Amino acid sequence: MSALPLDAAANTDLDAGRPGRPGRPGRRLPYFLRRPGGVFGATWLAFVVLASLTAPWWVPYGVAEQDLSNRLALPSADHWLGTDPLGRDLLSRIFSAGAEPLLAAGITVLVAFGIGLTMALIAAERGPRVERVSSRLAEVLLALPSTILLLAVIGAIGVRIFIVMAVLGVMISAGVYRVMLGVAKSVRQRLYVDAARVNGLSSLRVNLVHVLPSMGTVVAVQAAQLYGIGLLIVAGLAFLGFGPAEPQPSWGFMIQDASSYVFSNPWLLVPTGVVLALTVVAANELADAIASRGSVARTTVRRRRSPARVGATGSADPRPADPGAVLDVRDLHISVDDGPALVTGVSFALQPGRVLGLVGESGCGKTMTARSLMGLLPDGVSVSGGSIRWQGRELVGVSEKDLSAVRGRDIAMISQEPMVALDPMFSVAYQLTQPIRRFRGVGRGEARQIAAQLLRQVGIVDGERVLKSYPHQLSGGMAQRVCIALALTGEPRLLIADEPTTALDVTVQAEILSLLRALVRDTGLSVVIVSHDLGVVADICDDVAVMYAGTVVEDGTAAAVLDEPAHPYTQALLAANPHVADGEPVPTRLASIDGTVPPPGEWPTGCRFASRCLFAQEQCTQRFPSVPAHGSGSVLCTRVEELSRADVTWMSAPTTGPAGHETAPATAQPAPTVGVSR
Amino acid sequence: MTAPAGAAAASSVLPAPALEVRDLVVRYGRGRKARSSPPAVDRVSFEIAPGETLGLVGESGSGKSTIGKAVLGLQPPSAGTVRVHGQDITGMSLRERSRRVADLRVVFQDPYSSLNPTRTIGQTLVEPLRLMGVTGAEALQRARSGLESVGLPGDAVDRYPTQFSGGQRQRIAIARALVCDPKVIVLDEPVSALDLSTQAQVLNLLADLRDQRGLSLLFIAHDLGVVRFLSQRTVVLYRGQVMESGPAEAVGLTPRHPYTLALTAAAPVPRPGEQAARRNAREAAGFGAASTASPGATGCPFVPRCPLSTDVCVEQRPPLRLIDQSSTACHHAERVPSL
Repeated sequence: MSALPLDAAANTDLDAGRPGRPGRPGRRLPYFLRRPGGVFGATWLAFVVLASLTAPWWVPYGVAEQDLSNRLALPSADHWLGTDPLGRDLLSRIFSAGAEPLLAAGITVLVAFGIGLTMALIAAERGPRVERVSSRLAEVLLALPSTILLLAVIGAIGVRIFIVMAVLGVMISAGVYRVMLGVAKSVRQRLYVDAARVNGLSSLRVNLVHVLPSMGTVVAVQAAQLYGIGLLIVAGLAFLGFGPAEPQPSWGFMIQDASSYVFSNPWLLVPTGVVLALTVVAANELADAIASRGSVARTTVRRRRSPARVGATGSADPRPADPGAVLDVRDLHISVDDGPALVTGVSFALQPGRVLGLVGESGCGKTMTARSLMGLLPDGVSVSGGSIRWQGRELVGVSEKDLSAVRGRDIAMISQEPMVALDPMFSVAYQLTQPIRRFRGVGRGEARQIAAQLLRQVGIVDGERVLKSYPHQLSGGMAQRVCIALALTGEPRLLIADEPTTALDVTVQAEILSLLRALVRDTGLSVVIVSHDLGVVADICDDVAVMYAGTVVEDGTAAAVLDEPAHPYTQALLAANPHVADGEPVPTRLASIDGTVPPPGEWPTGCRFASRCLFAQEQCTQRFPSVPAHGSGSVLCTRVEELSRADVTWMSAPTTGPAGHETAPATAQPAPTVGVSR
Repeated sequence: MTAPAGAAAASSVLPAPALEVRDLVVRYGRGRKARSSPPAVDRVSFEIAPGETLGLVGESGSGKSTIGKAVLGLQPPSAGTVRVHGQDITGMSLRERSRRVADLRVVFQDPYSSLNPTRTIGQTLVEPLRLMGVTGAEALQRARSGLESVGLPGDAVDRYPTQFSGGQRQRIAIARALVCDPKVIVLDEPVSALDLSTQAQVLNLLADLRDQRGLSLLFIAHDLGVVRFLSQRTVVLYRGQVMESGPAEAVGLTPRHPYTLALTAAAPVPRPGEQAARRNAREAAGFGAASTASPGATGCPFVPRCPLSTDVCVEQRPPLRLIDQSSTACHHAERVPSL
């Protein structure tokens, strides 16, 4: 009973809650039957069980029927699998013997799960007090020597295999309880369980309807594995002589019998051995196939980074190259290999010492764009066109080795979840000094001094204490400071920050933003910050690029874009923000945008915002808008000049008022979403 | 929001508040260690009138979600009472509650884990109705109209949660709370996992439903802007204690407690010029870092971060007192600068 299948199953089970999964698995063909191992396991088990249970009606010979002229025969037309030393038909004996071990192993599984699973569900529901008692009981059971106990039971009650295997089930239930308790506890933390409890469901129904089905995968994996073990134990007992008395056949005894002829008549061992081995393997294959849920897709997309077709799409960007920029991104295209494009035609330039904000809703490609700058796109996603120039040097298409010379040294990254970015196994000092020594080639003592200095630089007062601590001992804000210090170890010129404050409280967020601002001011660092929060962007960014459905729809200086938004989408985002300016009344309704961001692969040929835009006209849906310069940047909207001349904005548009407008048409079709968001 | 004695006497005449929480204390764990550590919720009182929305604001660890759980009966309180329409439900089991006061429902934060992926939307919505004794056909009819009232097509009952986006799932969760026709709904961060445009849709929907049905909402959030949009009154929590409570406008615009001021000043606004001014004002006010230093057991919990704190703050826990329209737990409320 290894922990591995459990982990795999538990993880994939959690994944099942994500969007993008087409329908409910199991409605057509159960998912585990789409793998060869699963097909084999299920087919063989079904065959053996059926053949064994129906054996009395179809086997050609009786189990004790001897054909003395044909002793120890090889397979023939009369005896398909040959005969044993007494001339009895092996095929008949194998399948006549099958029912008992198959049923007995089933009893073990039933008893083990009947006790272990029930106890686990009760302990998970009733909390630590009950859990303490039941876990002690399980430990006692686990401490018993099960082999000796089984033999003692046989000694006391004789070879009554079903009872013996039930006793084994009781002993194994402790292990089942252990595994199931962890799963049950994690399922109980899901909110739908709480919601059902608030609705007043009885605890039995909560467990049966909401907790158990979510544990199904793990239960199936463990049961199939345990079944294989049970089979081996029944056979083992019979091998030792604790099986049905002769002439009643048993797999274990037949193997024992054959083992004495292993040199003179090796074939005798083959049929029984193969059937037993195949049955055990089938049970385990089935367990593997059940556990593999969801991992199929993951294994197929794992591919090597393919070199991008540089400039394949032809540069559509009219703007001249910016000589002063440290980072110059031109017509960047990112797509799923052999799949839809995720980002198309993104261009921006970043001056030294400036902060650029990539802003937009989830699923608009801002994180993909940021990750591509470091060559850290997920497996199966790659840059499919355009260029990323870092201080005049092309980064698209260069080898992983050349890229790693830039990554961490020139360009560093901080992520949304500081606690995930730090390794819980190592102290802060270790995690900081390792990269310092690698990047700066200094000794251990000096590295530690630099680490302490970096922590001071990110505003940590008691640096020595923090150096000694482990990630779990830090608060979220402190952990993000450590992450920033970690990013600074290579003395980068560009910092990429992917939603660096989203997981933090507002007061902590304000401190982290102040810290980033001070770093930019003091060190001349350039920053690309990804955020969905327009307030954060207003606070820290000099330049802004608003992204929608894989393109930049509006860019320019932060003041220009946020104070006088020109693109309808930018206007709509600002209007949807409930934070009103000081002294202004709170609106009774928020302006919202119909529907949701179209997923990659479903983008229209015209303006991608057209279907949600209040100002869309026929021309908008026909062709992709060009990029006219507007103010300090550019706006991807064919009607921008017209709208700004007429002084029409999203906030002033009359159609945002009516109650039905936001809700009804937007959601009339619950469209499947693609799992690119967040 | 501790009602003065006179108001308490008059409440026998006035209709009982839809939800009343009095002196609620919640401690996690048991034994001596739990008793010596500060409680997650410390003597919190508030009430919500029928049709009113109360916003419960605070940062992580402020105890706001714990209060929601205690109200719902998911976390047994250590002391204090919870009343729904005057009926004490503090010690009632969840089953008993659903039978006797079918008035209290919940919408959770995470739209992904709040719907059971193995059940259809219809099964999820019908479940509480069947429990109330509604027949199968009628329950399904109510599930359909519930979905329509949150802007989803009625035939969504046959689909599974994975076929819906985050915003749509949150609508389904709201529909699940609505089908029983409750009077009080606890909303635990219902929009914080949603994108801005979806968030606006859901907030508008909640405001509409509240006005149409006269719902009382306990709206738990960390975002003062969101709370101000939906709530009539706001309660600000810090480390399990009420720092300030009062009309949403007053708490939002003229904070009387340094912590409320710190929260308000830290929330960035999407206008660069105004945000720069706010930032400078905040930095000038000198609010300390969210330090790990824990406050003394006796005094004000905000002392380690408060620029106004004096000796009296360390020694005495300030009582809630009424200043203008808000009650504030601060010894120096008069000295709190304006925004």
